[in-house]
Order: sequence, then structure tokens, then C-alpha cells
Amino acid sequence: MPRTFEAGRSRPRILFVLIIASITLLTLDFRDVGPFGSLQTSARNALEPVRSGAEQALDPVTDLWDDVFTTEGASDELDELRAENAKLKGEIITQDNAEDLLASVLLQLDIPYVGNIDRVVTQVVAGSIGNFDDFHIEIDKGTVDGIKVNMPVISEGGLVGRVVEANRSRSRVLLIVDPGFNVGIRVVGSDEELAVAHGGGWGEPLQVTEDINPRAEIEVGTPVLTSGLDNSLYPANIPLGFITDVRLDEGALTQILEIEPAGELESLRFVTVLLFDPDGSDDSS
Amino acid sequence: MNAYIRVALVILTGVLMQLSLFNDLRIADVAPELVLAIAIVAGMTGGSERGAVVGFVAGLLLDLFLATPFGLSALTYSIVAYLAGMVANAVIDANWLVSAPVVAVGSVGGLGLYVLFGELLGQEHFYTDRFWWILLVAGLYNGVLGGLITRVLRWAWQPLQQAGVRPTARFGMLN
Repeated sequence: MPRTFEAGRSRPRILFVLIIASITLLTLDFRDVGPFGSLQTSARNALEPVRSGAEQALDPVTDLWDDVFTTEGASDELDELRAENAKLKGEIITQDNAEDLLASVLLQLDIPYVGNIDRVVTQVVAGSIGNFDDFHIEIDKGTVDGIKVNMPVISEGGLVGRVVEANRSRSRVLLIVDPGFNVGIRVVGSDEELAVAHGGGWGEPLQVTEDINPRAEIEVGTPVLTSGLDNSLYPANIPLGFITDVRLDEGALTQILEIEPAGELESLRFVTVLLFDPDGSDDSS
Repeated sequence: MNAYIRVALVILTGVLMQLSLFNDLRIADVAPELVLAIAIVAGMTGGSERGAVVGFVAGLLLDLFLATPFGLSALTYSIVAYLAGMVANAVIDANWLVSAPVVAVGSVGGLGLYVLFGELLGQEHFYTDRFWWILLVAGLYNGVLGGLITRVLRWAWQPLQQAGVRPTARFGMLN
């Protein structure tokens, strides 16, 4: 095919340099080099006001899009029902464990199962960004509100995630459905089994695949709470969910549990960050 | 206005639009990948090298706001933009309308590369049941935006063209 312009010779050297630079950045990120992380945070903080301004300015457009392409009324109703359902499920769990927990109340500002741990109620301002970041949400509070990385995040139904990135006025939360999310759990019941549950992805239950005594009597429907053991990122007795399946593994060495999360995750609008420090150096109770 | 200032403005605006607008303008729960489209068109209109640099910078800026490994978008976008520049230079006629399918195909390739790199870096949740669906919808979405982005980037490169910088790619234009 004839060319309309003379083709300049492309120099792969530039691409090579950019690839090396990218790999270097990826390496620094994976190794969690301190100053590098601080630089990222500073850059995000610097751009945050611009981003927030853009979001506010473009709100009418996204609202219009929602109006046209979603059935907003039905969606709102569904959200309310989901929230109510999550709240009820959370109450059931906390009441099952009532001997150890404070009386439950309905409003998020007075969640009973976190005792007197200081907390910050936040609004969810963004879901996953792009198409391959499915398990995060962004909340509208950050370090200026006392939020730090690894703090637990709850809703009325129970644990929903933990803070994985805290910027000045925004934070990012990893949801418990992320396959890489691990949390120490306690199965409420006579045997008080302790284990670690991990996320299973959207629409899938959390799973416990080891450390459960194969002879322990665990029934479907049993509530599961955070264990709060030493060095745990989470305080004890936060409802996590209900057991929906119990079976022996192939070698009959442990029982495999499936846990349906109690907290509503798909339509979160407000969540609460517990200002919990596992080292007990500040707000933990 | 200097061409590079214009391009910087396009990149910044593109990233902000992706975060603040297009992330919510989903079709079938798939968002367009506007920044990737900008990188591809930058390669097509500005040539491989400029495209690669634009892809790198735009990807890096986007990476600041993603939970994925920092540098992953920069790596992918610079490669895709470079390749887009080469393809545009070699085979494409000088019709900006052609940019739509080229951006669509480039986006599919770019997203595939992104997921491949992500999986290699341990992002096991990248490849899901929805992978092909995301490629298809995001590719088409980006293709629709491609014509507009081409016009914007032609505007951005214009000062260089007026300064007599030797053109190369048929889309546009410069080298």
C-alpha cells in the first residue's frame, strides 16, 4: 500500500527505556519501598481536589446516565431491601452471641458489636475503577479523620473489608470477597472453632479450608464472628456471616466451611471504619 | 500553546474523565478504557515514540488511582501505543474515520496484554468469566470514542505540525 507520508524510523530504544522504567516502578511497588509509597500518596493527595471537583462537576451527567440506563426507583427499593436484609442478618448473629456482646441497636453510629472502639462513618464515593479492579471501594474519609491502613470496615450487617490505602481525604477499602482477603474467624457454638476464612469472589461464599476439627459438630446456619486473636487486624466479635455449607475435605483431615457474608456488599453507600489498632496503642478497646 | 502542554492537558483531562465520568458510564457493567484509547490514538497520530511516551505518562497517572500494581498500566499502554504507531504508519489510510475500528481493535489487544501482564504479576482475579465480554464491550466503546479522541489529539499535535516537524503517520501526522 503506498504511503501518503514518509514514514519516520521508529526507535525501539525509547520503548525499551519505558519498559525498563515501568518494570522498575512495579518492582518498587511490590517491594513496598517506603519513600516510593509516600511519593504516590503525595501525588494522589495533590490531585485529589481536582478529581473531587471534576466528580462534582460531572455528577449531573452520571445522574442522567443512571436515569436513562437504570431503573432508578426499582434500584433504590432494592438497595433499601438489601440494607434491611443485611441489618437483620447482622442482628441475628450478634444476638446469638448476646452473652458476650452488647445489645444490638439499629443505627450505624451505634453498632453494638464493636464495643467502644472509636469509629468514623463514611460515604462510599466510588466503586471499582476500570474493569479489572473488582474488589475495592473508595470512601470519603482519610488520614485527617484518623483512618489508617489495615483498619477494619463494617456495615450494619458486619465486616465488609479493611482499609488498604489511606490518603488525606479519601481511602480505599478492600472488600472481604477478594480472594486474597483473609480474616481470623470463630465459629459460634460449643466447640468454638478458630480458623482463617478467605474471600471467594463476587457471588461466592467465603471459605475456610483448614484448621477446623473434622469431628467438630458444626451446623449450617451457624454464625461466624471475627476471632480477634493476637495480632489480628480485626477486633473480636464482628459478625462475618453464616455457614452455608459444611463438608469434610478429601483426606478427612479438616472440615471445609462456606460462609455467606452478613454484610451487604453490592450496594454499599455508607460504611463505618473502626479506628482499631491491633497493637492497642490508641483507640482499641 | 505548546504541543506538549496540549498533550499534557489531554492526558490529565482523560484520566480525570475516566475516574470521574466514564467509570460510571458503564454499558453492561463495562466501562470504557478512555486512557488506553488516548494512548493508542497518540501513537496513531503522533508516531510510535511520542505515543509510547504518552502511553507511559497517562498510564502512570492512572496507576496512581488504581489498586492494581503501580506501573502496570504504564507498561501496557506504552507498548500498545508504540505498536499502534507502527501499525498506523504501515497500513492505514489517511482517514480519521478509520480510527474507530483501529482504536477498537487496539483496545482489545491492549486489554488482553494488560490482563496477561497482570496475571503474570499475580493478579489472579483479572482473568474471569467476564474477560471476553469486557474485551468486546470496552473495545467497541473505545472505538466509538476513537473518532473524537483522534480529533482532540490532532489538535494537540498541531503546533508541532505547524512548526514543520516531519510527518509520518497517515492519521496525522508527525514524527
